[in-house]
Amino acid sequence: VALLELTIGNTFDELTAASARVAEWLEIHDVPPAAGTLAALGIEELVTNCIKYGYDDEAAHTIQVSVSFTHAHLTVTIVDDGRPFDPVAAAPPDLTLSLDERVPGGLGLHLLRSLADTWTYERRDGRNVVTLHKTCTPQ
Amino acid sequence: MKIAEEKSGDVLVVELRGRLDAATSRDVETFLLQKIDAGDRLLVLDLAGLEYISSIGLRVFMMAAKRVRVVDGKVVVCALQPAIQEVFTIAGFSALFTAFETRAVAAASLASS
Repeated sequence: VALLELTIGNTFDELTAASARVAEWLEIHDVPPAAGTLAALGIEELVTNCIKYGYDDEAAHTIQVSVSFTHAHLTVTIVDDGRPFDPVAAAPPDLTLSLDERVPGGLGLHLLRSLADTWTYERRDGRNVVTLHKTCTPQ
Repeated sequence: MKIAEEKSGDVLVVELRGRLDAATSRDVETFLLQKIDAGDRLLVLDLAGLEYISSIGLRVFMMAAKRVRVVDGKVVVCALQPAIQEVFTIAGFSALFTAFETRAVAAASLASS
């Protein structure tokens, strides 16, 4: 079992450093591109939302991220102590609009919804816990 | 992220290599919008070297497309890797950006439009 655990402060500099570490880890462990993309996107999209919208105060917070990969199963878990937010229940964007009408919002969560085999949310002990799963099909 | 440009006639080809994410999107957005504001309105984004794109990167492409549309211009893409193609499809970007196999075909399509 390959396991990566990271604690990320709620700043974009910390997110950038964490994303670089995750990319390196995915490469070292030969995680297939489809699963690797989901892992990288899961962390970037959810941590970005958390940094931008998750907190009512100016205090420093930490976000716990774990990525595991074993026998073609990828699991990403992201835990934050921000205000309650259920990304699984978020409304999908309207992709049928013309360029003039389209707005960029909502695409990040829509990518996760589409790329993950399953994703779950729970509010546990005052924290948001989001788990993403993907099983890679053999090449 | 490495950004390279090549101008042929009225068509500007912009090659993006690396990862277009929270760390790099600002640079790419600034580059593209400056080009558009300086008069470029026919753009090819060569994505052969693009390894990863997140929603903030998709946002940059959308902003560029909206901006050139005001001046009757167009942004097309070429040489998408499978992972990038998948993200484009999921995001509904296939309807917003015509995709070509190669830079040459993409540039030719704009030059004749």
